[in-house]
Amino acid sequence: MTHYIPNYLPAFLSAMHSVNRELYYLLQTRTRLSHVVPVSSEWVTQLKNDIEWADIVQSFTSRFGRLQDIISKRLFRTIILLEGGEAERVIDILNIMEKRGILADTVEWHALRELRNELAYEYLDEHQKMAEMINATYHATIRLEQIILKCQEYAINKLYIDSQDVKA
Amino acid sequence: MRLTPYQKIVIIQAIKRCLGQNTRIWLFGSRVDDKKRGGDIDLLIEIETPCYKKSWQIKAIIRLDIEKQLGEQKIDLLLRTRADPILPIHLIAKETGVEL
Repeated sequence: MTHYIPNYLPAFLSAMHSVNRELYYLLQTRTRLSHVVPVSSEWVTQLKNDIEWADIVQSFTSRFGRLQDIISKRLFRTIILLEGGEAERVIDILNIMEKRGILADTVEWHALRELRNELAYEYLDEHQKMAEMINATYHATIRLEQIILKCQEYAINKLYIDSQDVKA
Repeated sequence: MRLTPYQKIVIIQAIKRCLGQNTRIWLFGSRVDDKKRGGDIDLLIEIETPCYKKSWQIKAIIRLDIEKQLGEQKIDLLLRTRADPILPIHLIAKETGVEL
């Protein structure tokens, strides 16, 4: 007996695999930043003369945003579909994830989304603000990783999806 | 101004609940123009003293509070502390906007 709607399994696994891949790249970039974090506003100021580090920061923040998008737009949605549920509104999706124990609290997820939005604005002239955001994103990456692990755990332990498929 | 009295009160209360009664709020952008339709709700929020919470945490709390009461909304929140240097966008918001 399956514990999920089989029709939605390919969509879920496709989302899961995208998330796993994006997380891998994000963590790789995060490792490069680990030598300089916490960064100061002076460090951000000198980025304009250091293309290599500017590129690392750029790819780190945009990967963070992209991963968060895939988690909320694809992974969370397909988990709900697998369960036979339906949810369109973001607030409903997040509430369901909170009930499943995947999100510790929805306010935190919203804060990560706001952080992502602020990063998209690129406060290039506000170096103190940019430094704070880079440091916060560095720590928030671990939260994203934990949320992804919770999704995997839920799929394996509650929906009985093959762990090899989920972790692939 | 294109906000219903209910929207206005929900927005003001949500922001002041999070940041205190002395917080000042301006609505600016297309919602100030009575001839236009739809559009994002652009708000400039000015806090008297710096808050220990980060801007993205403040925005999340306010947005969640508003959306719980009004449903999903396209809201753009701009946050500044009175001591911060004033940016061109802040001036535009104050000069063209309406204080709530």
